[in-house]
Amino acid sequence: MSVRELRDVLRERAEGPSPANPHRHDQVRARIRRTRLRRRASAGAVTLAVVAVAAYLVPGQAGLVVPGETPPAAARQELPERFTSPDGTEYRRVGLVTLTGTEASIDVPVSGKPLEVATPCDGDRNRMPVVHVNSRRVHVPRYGCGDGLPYLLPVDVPQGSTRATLTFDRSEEGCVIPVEDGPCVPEQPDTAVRDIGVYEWTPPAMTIEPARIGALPGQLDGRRLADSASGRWPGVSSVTLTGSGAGPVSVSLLCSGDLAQRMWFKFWINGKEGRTTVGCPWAEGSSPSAGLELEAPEGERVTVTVQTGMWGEYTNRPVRWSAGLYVR
Amino acid sequence: MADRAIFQDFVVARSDRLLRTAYLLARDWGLAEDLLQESLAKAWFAWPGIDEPEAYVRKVLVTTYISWWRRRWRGEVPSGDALPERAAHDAAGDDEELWRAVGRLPARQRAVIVLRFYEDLPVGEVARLLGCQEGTVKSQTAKALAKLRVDESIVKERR
Repeated sequence: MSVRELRDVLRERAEGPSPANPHRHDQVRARIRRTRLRRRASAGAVTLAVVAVAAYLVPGQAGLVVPGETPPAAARQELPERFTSPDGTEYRRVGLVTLTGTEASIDVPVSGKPLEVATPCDGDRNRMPVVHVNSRRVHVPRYGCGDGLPYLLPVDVPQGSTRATLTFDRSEEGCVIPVEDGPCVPEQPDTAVRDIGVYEWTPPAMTIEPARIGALPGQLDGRRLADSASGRWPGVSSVTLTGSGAGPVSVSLLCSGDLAQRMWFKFWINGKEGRTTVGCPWAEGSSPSAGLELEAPEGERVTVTVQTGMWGEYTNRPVRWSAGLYVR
Repeated sequence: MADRAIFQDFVVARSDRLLRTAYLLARDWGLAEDLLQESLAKAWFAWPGIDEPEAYVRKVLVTTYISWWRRRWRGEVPSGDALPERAAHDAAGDDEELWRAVGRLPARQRAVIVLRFYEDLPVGEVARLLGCQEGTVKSQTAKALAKLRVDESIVKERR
């Protein structure tokens, strides 16, 4: 194989049709605004931490819990006491904790309404610590910051509880590969002063119907649409798409509804378990989603079974989704 | 020095090209868009002090990509398990095999390959972008080409 072939392959891949995004500049400006807010928030939080540590300097204290205290202005700005989500659902903050060490806990009242946690996004990843509810670890989806918003993550609370203790633990870090081809060693811990808000939301009295999703594009990333299906969560939880083409296929997803980022999609290719993807692009943006590439036998008919599900509570907040199978 | 007044024009005029570089690094158009927007947003804050906006954004793009790649394993899936490995199969053509092999390269080597053989940048420029010595770029190129089983003897080093 020659370098010319390598150049050709790179060029062919890169210069195929790419998803158009006429809103890119606006989206970048929105990121810039959020970065500014985060920087102000960090500055505010550091000030609070310095003052608080000076006041509460206790040897061996793992984390500084500040429930009930007046949060800094920046935290109020990013983790407000109340807000309304785009679909009209009312959120109310029931707890706010500032994490300075590896762990912090907070007791919150439980009214039976769904609980969610949020922390401002900083850098390129949402670094929500591991969440425990009454000492039981809660698995929450980990999102990249994506468009930089501090996503709300659902947490389950045992039924019938009137209070719950939420513990946020960031001692368990990821790993990095500092030496090429070397082992993955523990990542430098997240030592930033971090505000975490606990929210409850009130299920809307009536179902909020998500917007209808337009047709998926006939061509995407050099592939053609072979089959597609649509559904609504809760509702249809499994569909099958079929097509045939050369080599790997891709599945493109589009969703509408505020909870679209909590959808997960698991794929089986010709009956064999394949990849799982978390989250679903919001259909309002005109940029179509990039396809999730799935290996498939070349030239043979491919059957892709898609199973859907969602994290957390969704009462009266359904999500519409569309999935398209693209083949070469 | 770049004027912030031209930032929008720069995004409109140059971001499609940068998106393609991002795609070669991330291998997913959605991630590539995310990577590009993150890099443009970072560049905006440094904009008044930048002499060559495109080179600067490209540098941010590559370094941001490498930092994302290092943290990629942290993602969780519903079952709590890591994403399964893709199944290999034998029917793919040489181009497809080569593309997959590029995808298996470590982040830094993939970046070197993209910058040298897609962007056609000389060794010195790649070293500047990655913040390393020219010798490192050459050794990374050699390692990457060996993994791709590309004949290194016909690579002409541009300085």
